[in-house]
Amino acid sequence: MSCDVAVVGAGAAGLRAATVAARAGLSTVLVDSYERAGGQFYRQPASTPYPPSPTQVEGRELIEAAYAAGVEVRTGTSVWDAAARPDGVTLWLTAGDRLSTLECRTLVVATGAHERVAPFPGWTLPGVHTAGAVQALHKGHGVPVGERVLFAGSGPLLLVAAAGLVETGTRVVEVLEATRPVRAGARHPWATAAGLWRQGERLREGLGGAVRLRRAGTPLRTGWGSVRALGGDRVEGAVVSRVDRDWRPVAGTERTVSCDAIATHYSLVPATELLRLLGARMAHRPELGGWVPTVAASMATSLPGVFAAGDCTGIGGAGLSLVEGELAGLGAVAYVTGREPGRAPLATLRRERRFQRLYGTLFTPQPGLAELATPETVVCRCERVTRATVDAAVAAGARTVQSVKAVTRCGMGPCQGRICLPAITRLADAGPPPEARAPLEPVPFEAVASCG
Amino acid sequence: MRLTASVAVVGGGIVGSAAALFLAERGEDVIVLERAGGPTQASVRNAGGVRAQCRNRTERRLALASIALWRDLADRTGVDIEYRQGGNLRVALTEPTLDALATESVEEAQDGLATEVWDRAELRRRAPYLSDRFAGAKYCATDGHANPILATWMVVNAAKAAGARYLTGADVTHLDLDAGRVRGLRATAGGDILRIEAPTLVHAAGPWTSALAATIGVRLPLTPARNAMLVSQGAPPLLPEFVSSHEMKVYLRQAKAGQVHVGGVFTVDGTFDQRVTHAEIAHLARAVEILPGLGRLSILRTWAGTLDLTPDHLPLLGTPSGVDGYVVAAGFSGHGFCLGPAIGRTIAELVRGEPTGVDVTALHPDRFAAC
Repeated sequence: MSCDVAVVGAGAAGLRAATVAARAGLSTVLVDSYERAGGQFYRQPASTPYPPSPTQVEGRELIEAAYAAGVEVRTGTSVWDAAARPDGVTLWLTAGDRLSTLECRTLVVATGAHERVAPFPGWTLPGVHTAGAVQALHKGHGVPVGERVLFAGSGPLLLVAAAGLVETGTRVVEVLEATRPVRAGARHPWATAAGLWRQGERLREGLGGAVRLRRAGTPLRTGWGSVRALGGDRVEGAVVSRVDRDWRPVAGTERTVSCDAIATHYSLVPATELLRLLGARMAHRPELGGWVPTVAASMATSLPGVFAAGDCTGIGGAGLSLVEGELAGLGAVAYVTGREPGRAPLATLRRERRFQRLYGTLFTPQPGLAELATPETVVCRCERVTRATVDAAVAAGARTVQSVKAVTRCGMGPCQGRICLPAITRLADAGPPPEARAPLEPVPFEAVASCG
Repeated sequence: MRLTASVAVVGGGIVGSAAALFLAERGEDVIVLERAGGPTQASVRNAGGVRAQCRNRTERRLALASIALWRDLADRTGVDIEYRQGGNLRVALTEPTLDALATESVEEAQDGLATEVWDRAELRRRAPYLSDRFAGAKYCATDGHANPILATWMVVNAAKAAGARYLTGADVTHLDLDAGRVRGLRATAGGDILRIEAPTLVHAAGPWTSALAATIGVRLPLTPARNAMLVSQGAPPLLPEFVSSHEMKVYLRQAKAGQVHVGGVFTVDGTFDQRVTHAEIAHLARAVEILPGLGRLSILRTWAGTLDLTPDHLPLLGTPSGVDGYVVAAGFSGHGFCLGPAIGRTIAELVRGEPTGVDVTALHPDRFAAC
């Protein structure tokens, strides 16, 4: 099957890009791995006893706009291989065990972000989750992850996910944010002022979350972090401590917290596998979350006819993703039709970019995070590779992520390094961007053998 | 920086490192120049097959020597290279193919290699997990496979322990000759210029050997070929043998960790590109036609290496005429990992002027000099 525009990822950026393209009369296909469109921020409920939140209502409207514009939405569908052709891009799709091919003249990659997972002692115990997973379970299914939940890490999602869980009546014992936003903000007054300019809604949301936690009796501490998870078969508690500016634990401040679940969140890593597989030019930008594609103002990547938008181009949140999605959609339309691109909402773009810079200033992970793992800590849980094994490989001369991987098997399991490689990157030298290879999702041999 | 050595080895892969090991053990002062931080190319990007069957006679003898050396090296160093003599099974789709394998089996027996020819019924009985489409197979019980990454690093570390000096991140730019005799080489390493004076050079840089050799007027017919591989998710034991079908151009083995590795497609597109194409993935997925149990498993990863093909798919080993002190060891055409230790020992013997344990005159690079 073929189309003018294929959009991968049905979050804020992808929904908006697809809608713009379809409204311009182009045949547009939007694919997303999840069962429902919306992405993480606008995650739609599957079956939940709670009424939809305002964010979910807003998401519902975005999804309906895409359908109304004539976008063909294919959920539960992942891209497992892709190749750039002179006249477009071929995507190989998998939906369950059913494989299909999609030829498009232009591609918008809007694959969002993964949560950064930092290995720390005890992180593989049942009961340790990411805040995003906690939020997804609660938003999508109304399921709380525990009865007494500790939140620790850094980034707005930590606060938002904790406040969301409090709404369900779950007890959140503490929320520990490693950054001290007020102090860090004071160090960068202009960036802070600019970043917060006309961000009333975000500030209200943040303050609202803090207020809800306060009402529930949950302490919100900044400059604190979780050092290790305690428990035999599952989480029974955590050791927490004050952390300094580099996120290193401050000696003598450790104490034990009793909890049955831990939600960690260390900001986000752009999900760039598809872009790297296609061979888009990448740049390492820690303040944007790591490796990101180099994009023009139109969100065009280095590859002809391939655009990228949203968090996969650098962490910036749903507001920026909507604008970037619109730009990418306009760019895709101009690319296919050869007409001048339509007008973009540049004032909103500038405002959201300032916020993105502030986010990067405040929430970029600091070196102390990589030091939490002790020699015995498993860093690659798929292949059960410890920190000591990785350190030994680095000491023996494995200098790049690729060579650490080859020698230790770290990153070779089912997650294909999505979880562990950001952590390994901090142990080995960054080197070139890690190679992305097919299959981006595991695909059964039988299915490939029978339909390629 | 200026350094001197009795032998400079260009290329720190399996062949260069095995040569360095056996040379250092013979008292030579060896420097190995490696472009990357360690072995990263064909030495570690292969299926890890260690087999003597289904080979040309010279390679068969080298492989038999290599199998003994692989076992010996693993024992000596105590490193687990996941070496397993689970047998090699070459399956035949048709009766004529099986007849040809039977003829080969006779020749192999003459060289002291025991193989068995199985007909359809015997194959069903001995390997019921394989598809029933095959007319039969040839089986060699002493063949097997190892983990090429662990095995190659083991040889690198053994060479270092024997006294070979490794210069990594070193890109060799010039081979220095004087009156038809090797003087040394020049390289760049991290912005520095290295000059190495050495009366003997061993050139074992895989498909990258020919470009540098051409600068001293030695023409080596090497063609880069992409060797694409699929890796399945981990699975319980499915097959002990390394199985291959020449007709289907698919081979497979199950690694110690449980993943099934599938290879067999060699793409010659005139590049060193190691990106696996969709056509290669689709071809290799046909491994389910050999091992039906693979069908329900997922393809987890793909990767590729670059092989150095020669016109006859046999290595180039020896000193090209007119360039004294220059030993070429390249063009392994996908056989370098298995043969590596025996090739390394042969290089040491050639450099030292000792009689070679295996007669390698058939591999002399001059056989293509007229081309």
